[in-house]
Parts: sequence; C-alpha cells; structure tokens
Amino acid sequence: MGASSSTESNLMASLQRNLSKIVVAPSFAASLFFVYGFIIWTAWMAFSKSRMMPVYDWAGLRQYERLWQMERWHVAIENLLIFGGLFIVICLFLGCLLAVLLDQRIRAEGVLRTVFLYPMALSFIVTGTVWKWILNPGLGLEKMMHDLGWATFKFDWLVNSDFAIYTVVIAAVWQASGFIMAMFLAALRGVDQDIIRAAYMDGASLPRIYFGIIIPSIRPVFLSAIVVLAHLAVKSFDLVIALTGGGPGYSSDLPATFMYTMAFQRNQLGISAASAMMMLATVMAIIVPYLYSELRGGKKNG
Amino acid sequence: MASLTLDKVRKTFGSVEVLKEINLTIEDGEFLVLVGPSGCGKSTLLNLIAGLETSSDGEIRIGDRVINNVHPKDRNIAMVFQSYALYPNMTVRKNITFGLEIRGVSASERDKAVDDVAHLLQIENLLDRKPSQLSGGQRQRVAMGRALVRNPDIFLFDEPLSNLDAKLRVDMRTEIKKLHHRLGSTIVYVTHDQIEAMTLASRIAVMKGGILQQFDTPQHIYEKPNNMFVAGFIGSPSMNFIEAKLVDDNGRIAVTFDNNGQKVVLPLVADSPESYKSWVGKDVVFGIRPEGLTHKRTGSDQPGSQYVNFDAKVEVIEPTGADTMTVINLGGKEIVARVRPDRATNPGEMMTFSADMNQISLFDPTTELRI
Repeated sequence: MGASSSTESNLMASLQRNLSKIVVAPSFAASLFFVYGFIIWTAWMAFSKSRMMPVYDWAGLRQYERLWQMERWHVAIENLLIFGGLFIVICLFLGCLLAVLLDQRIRAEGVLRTVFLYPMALSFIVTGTVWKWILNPGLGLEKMMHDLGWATFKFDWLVNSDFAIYTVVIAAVWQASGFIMAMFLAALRGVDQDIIRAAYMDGASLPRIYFGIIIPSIRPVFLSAIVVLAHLAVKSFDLVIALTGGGPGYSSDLPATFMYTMAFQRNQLGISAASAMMMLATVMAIIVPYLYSELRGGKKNG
Repeated sequence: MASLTLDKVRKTFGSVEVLKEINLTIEDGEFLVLVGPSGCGKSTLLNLIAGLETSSDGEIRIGDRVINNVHPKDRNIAMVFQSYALYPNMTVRKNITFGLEIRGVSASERDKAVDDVAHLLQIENLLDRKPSQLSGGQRQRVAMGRALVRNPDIFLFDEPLSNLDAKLRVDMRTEIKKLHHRLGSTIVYVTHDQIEAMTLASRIAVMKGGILQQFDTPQHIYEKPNNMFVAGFIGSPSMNFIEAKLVDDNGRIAVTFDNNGQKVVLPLVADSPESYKSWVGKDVVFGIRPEGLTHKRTGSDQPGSQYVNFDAKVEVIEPTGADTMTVINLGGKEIVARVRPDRATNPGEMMTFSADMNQISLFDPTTELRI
C-alpha cells in the first residue's frame, strides 16, 4: 500500500514538474515537422530534377539556373521591388501622418481609430475582390465618373500591364496603413507629455516638436513597422490572386504567385522550390539582422 | 528676474472649479513654494504661470507685464519638470541649447552659455551623452541646466525631486537652495513634501481644494497656522489635536481636557491673546506640536512658568536617535511627545510630561480656524 502510494505521488510530482513541457511538446513537434521539416524538404527539391512529381535525383544548381533564365521570374522580382518599396514607404508615411493627427486629442478619436484600423481585420482576398470591383473600368470608379458626366475620365490601371502592379500597391496600402498607424499611435502615447510641454515652452512649433523630437525618439517603432511591412510584401499572394490574378498576362506576378503557378499549374516543382528558397533567403535577410539587434538590445537593457 | 503677481486667478474645468480666487505676490528673488496634498490645484496654478493652461479669470503679472495671453515662449520663464522631460534623441548639449537655437541665438553664444551652465552644475563631462545614459540625479541637473541657460525671469519647478531616492533628494534640495542664493532668481516651486517646502521657501503657499489656505514665511506658518489643515500638514510628526475646553482657572484662562478619567488643567501663559477670553466655557481644539510636549522640564514646578506638567501612561515609544517619540493616549486620541532619549521610559509606565504653553494653538472645532 505504502509503496504504491509513494510511486503514485512520485509520478504526480514528476508530472507536475514536466507539465509545461508535456503541453508544449505536440505543437513543438508539429512545427518542427511541418515548418522546418518542409523547409528542408523544399530546399532538397530545389536541388532535384523534380517536374510534375517530386523525384530525388540530385541536379545541383540546375533549377536555380533555369529559374534565373525565366523572364517571368525577373518580372516577379521587379514587381516585388516596386510593390515592396512603394508599399513600405507609403504605409510608413500615411501611418505616421494619421497617428500624429490622431494624437492631437481630437474628438471621436476612438471611432476614427477603428475606422482606420478596420481594413486590417479583412482578409486579403476580400480586400482584393473589393478593389477589383472599384478599379474595374467597366464597373467601378471609371464607370461612376462616366455616369456623373465626366466622359473623358480614364483609370484603367487594373487592366494595363504597365500599371497593374500599382493597383496592388493601392489595395495593400489601404489595408495595412491603419495597422501601422496603430503602432505609431501606441508609441506616440508612450512619449512623456512633459517632453512636449517642455519643447513648447522652449518655443518649438508643433511640426518641429514632432519631427525634431518625438518621431526621432520613437525610432525603434520604425524598425518594427518596416519588418512587419517587408514580410507582408514578400509573402503577398492572396491579394494579387484576388485583385489581378497576376495579370494582365503575368505583368503583376509576385514571387509568391510565381511559385504557386510553377508548382501547381506548370508542373515545375523544382523551379518552384528554387523560387521558394529565394524568397526564404530574402525574408531571412530582413528578419535575421532585426532579431539579432532585438535580442542583443534586450540583453543590454536587461 | 522679476516679481510675480497673481490677482484673483480662477480656473474651472467645465463646472469644476479647481482654483478659487488665488491672490499671491512675490518679490524679485523670492523662493515661493506651493505645497499641498495631491489634487489641491498647485500644479494647475504652476501651469497657469507657465502658460500651459489659461486661467478662467483674473490676472497674472510678471513685473508690470500682464501675461495671461502671452505665449509661453515669450513669457521668459523656464520650467523643470518632475519627469525631467529631457529630449531623448538629443545629447545633453543639444538638450540644453535647443531653446536657444529656436530663439536664434548664434552658435558661439550658445556654446559659451552651455559651458557656463555645465560648469555651474558640474555636468561638463556629461555634455555628449544621451539622457538614457544618465542617472536620475544627473538628468535632474541637465533639466535644471536647460532652464538656467535661458536666463529667465522666473524659474518654475514642478515636483523636481520626487523621482529621486531619499538621499539624493536631500542633496539636490541643498543644491537648489545654494543655486537660488547664488543666482538670486525668482523661483516658484511645487511640491507635496512639506519638508521641502520648509527648507527651501522664503514664502510658502499652502493649498487645499483649490483654495489658498495660508501664504506666509515658513516659520510663521509653522508657529501660527491659520487652520487645522495647515497645522496638520506642515511639520513632521504632525501637530497633536486634543478636544478640550477653555475654562477660567482662578482668574487665569486654562485649557482642560480629560486624561483617562482625570482632568488635566493647563493654564495659558499670561500674555495670551485677548480673543481667548470670549471662548471661556466653550469647546476648542487644543493643538500642540510634539516638541511642545516633552519630558519634565526644569523650572516647570514654579508658578507662572510657561511649562505645565501632567502625568500620562506611555503607550509606545519610537526612538529616532536624536529624540524618542513617545505616544500617549489622551481622551482616546494618540498624542506624540518628543522626549530626550535619556528621559524616556518604557511602554506601560507613567511619566510626567511638560507642555510648553508658548507653543500652542487653539482652533474653533466647527470652522477649524485658528482662534
């Protein structure tokens, strides 16, 4: 009796000690397998001769060579640079501006904040579909202007292969700038009000207070915002699919849509895997220095 | 440097009146301390002087100039904030010169001004650091430097020491006092700490509930508080209040109160104010500071002495080193006496105390005003 109850209590004790590990273990194992396992598998695929079905013959860098010879990949890369650059810059600017304006203790701030933040609650598919309707020349903005009597009004970026990528920028900015505003607003609210009053008494004008003191002192938020926006830009997929479908032609392809097309429509698993690895490398190039500086900063402050 | 006058200044937020007709005048070079519990309106008053808020009524003058509608930067005042409010993205040097730069002072003059101030405050070696690299005391100095460099008419201090630890607070207090002696500048200083008020001020304004309770020199406020609030707020440990009665004791006016069944009669000193006579036979509040209530003094047995003895049972003793605070129970209230350590007795024992009748205050129990 005594012996069995003591082993039972031992069991309970060790269970209690390891409870957190036991609880975390399944999700840890799952993410190890499904995230990192498949990253490794994709990396391997990129070095194989896979086309329609995965095969495991070593092909060296041949898939990468083929990838970089495709004009469509170059279009996708160029689009990513245009889209990512404009998306990040415009979102930062608009988000910052909205946050500064909202920070002036205005009436109905709560309502406005929600209005600006709300697009973030939508899925990119919804955003893409709505903007597709708005920007559709025969249906949306252009049609409305024509109906109002402005017959020469022309806004056909959605179907113009030179400008299609900019419609993606418009929709993405609409969706994300409210979120960036929330980040900046939180940082602005964290700034000691006495600093503003001190600067005010020093005789600084409001723009000078913001651009000379407040915004420089919330610099870390810029870094966080850029990282958030950059990874949103690199992984953009559903927005393009819903808005332009990568078209006209492949003029608004991004690397993610390129990868999808290669893997599931063109039977080029190897090229698809190679492009996925290129995207991973891009994201790592952004995230790793950020994490490094964050972790090191944490150690310094801690 | 200049005098400061507040003439019937009122401030309302909506229907709430946070300042009620404040009248204050300080001369050039005076050190005014606004003191009171939180929510008493002292910070609002400071903000009115600074121009960070506008008064609802009344006039604020620096020298002869009415400044109610003058922009803060044109009032020629400088303020030191509780949180220091240093600009986090600028070096100490930039922090100090920022105001000068905006006013269009030339670079060479700015450099000279910084050097002077840095020398005065001994922060020369910190000039190229960022505020985040400074300790609390150093930030405080920089904040003062930023105010000093402008050479303003009036300095405003908003609880500048409350974020410092106890030791540093005492050091900085001395330093502010020295600085005031050296510069002879007009200072308005807000604090909730009555010790800071007593040590720094040339005149104290005690506030409560938006009303100026008393405006006088520290010593006068300490000795002759206007009402029970001021009496209780200024001084530590605070003044003892005993519910008592004024009686005629063989031709002399005396205070009498109950000491656990026994009647204690303390005759007042001969030169007591005439006004006490009209209170004979009525209830009063007898206020006496702990240092007015001591161990038995020599000469206290002689008739006509300012010291009057009575016996009481000691409840608790709190030695502080220099004095032993002895708590006794009079009429259900705890009363603190300040006793010399070698004359203190143990809790539970009876002890003879002397009340110094020169150091007493009497208050009206209903209005709480001084009689």
